Amino acid sequence: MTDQDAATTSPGVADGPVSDRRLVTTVAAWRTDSSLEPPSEPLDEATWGRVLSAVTTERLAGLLSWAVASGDWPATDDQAKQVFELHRSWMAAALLLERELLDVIGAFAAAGVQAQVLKGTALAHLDYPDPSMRCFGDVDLLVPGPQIETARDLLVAAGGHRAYREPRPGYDRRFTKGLAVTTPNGFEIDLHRTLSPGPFGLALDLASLEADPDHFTVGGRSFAALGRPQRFLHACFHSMLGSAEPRLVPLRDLVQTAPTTAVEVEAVRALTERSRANVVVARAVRAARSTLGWQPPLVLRAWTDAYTETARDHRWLAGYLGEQRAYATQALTAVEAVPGGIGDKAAYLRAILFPVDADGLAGRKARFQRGLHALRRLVPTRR
Amino acid sequence: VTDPDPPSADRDPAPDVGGPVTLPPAANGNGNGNGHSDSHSDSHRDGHRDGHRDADGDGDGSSPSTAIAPGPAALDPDVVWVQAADALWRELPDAVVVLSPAGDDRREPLAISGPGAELWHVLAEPLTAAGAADALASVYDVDAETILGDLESVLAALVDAGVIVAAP
Repeated sequence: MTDQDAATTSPGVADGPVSDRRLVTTVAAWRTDSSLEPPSEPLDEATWGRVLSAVTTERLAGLLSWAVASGDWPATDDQAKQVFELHRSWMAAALLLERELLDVIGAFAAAGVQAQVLKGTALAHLDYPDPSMRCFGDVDLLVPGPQIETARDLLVAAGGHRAYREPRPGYDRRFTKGLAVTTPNGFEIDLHRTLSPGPFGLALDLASLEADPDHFTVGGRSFAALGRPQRFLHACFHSMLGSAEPRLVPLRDLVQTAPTTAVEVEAVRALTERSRANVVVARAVRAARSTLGWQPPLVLRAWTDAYTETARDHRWLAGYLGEQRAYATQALTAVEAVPGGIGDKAAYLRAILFPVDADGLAGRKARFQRGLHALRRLVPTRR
Repeated sequence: VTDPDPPSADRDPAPDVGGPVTLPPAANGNGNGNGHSDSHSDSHRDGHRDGHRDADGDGDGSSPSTAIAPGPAALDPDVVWVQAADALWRELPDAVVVLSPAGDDRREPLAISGPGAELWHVLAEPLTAAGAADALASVYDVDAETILGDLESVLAALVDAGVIVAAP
């Protein structure tokens, strides 16, 4: 099957009359090596309204705005005005978040917390042709496990609100994927210890993840971000493990960070093999091809096409994908990936099954039943 | 078993879904306590009505710059102006959005377009108001004296926003 075939037959992209979904996907694929082409004339108002709404939901206003401005995406004057205004709104939000980032990183640095900027902010400045092409709605930071409690406490001491409490002391430092704190200004700061919940997050080689950071400048200040191979891996994680079906912005992030040379592919491969995440990368690249109609660099395609999935891959993926996506399933399959010995796995299980601050006996019972349900769903995949 | 503390991307079935931050009303100069808006129409509409001042300086009547009294220093012919080193900004197809991170008053983002946006770019290098007017005159093929008169309110707005400062 060619990539052109894949683009026209992938789920959510209908054949025949151009669907809204396909139009939005075309926005996500704009100016990539993609087979998807923008419309040849301005959309009718009804279709435009639906597409603009979806573009907002999918955080693609920056790409559509520049596509319209360049003339690649035909639009009426009113349509251009609407998307430009929408773009302004997103970028105003981005600047407010970057101001928050300056405050947070300043406080962290004063306390000796070494954070790397993840996702939207870093990708906008490091990987997109112009930072205004990448919209984002929160601040994401990777904080080393031993420092995450300090980082969390700093945000809370500054008036931040954490929605969920730590299930047991030490869980944040040892096992959590991350935690979210809402600042007094209403902005969300996500502190990540690793890149996903469940087994893939726990198996990730964190030392390699934090190695060889890149830097970018915002407001005259330099920020550390993941290195490019690590950013690509994160985009793959976000695409395949962040939602039951891959979303468009992470797929576009994947394209923007994709390795293009044999040396770059080898750097990614070394990282993913240490983290037992080859299947995540292989599937994410396939998803970007089928959804965006993207033609990956040959060296990347050769590697990901050649990868043979294992029984463990299927077992670990079970909790992330499709209708079976459930945190409970991820949590149980993660036991296998908990670093350390039997004592560490026991501590992990104790934290997720018997949190000290559960909502009384009823809460514990409900928790246990959800775990049991997840275990039953996992059994067929073990056969 | 439930995720004890998932970041939003894992908590929401559509993890990254959300509209832009609804910008703070001009009156309070602080966050709105909302942070995210999931409504396209609300965030879109309110973001512009309440969040932006449009200092476009293009004379189309959309600029509220007349509401901002120019500071006396803005017209001092000897003052050299330049973009603040810590200014946050984004280039858009039809505008530049700028924000100063400095100070405790939590200023709002400012959208500037047309000649106002061009002024922002010109002031990447230190210039007096007259120097900036000369630079813009060459861009727009308009008499520098005329531009200098129109420049006053836009420059004042940018200085007021903290994104243009007197060069050291």
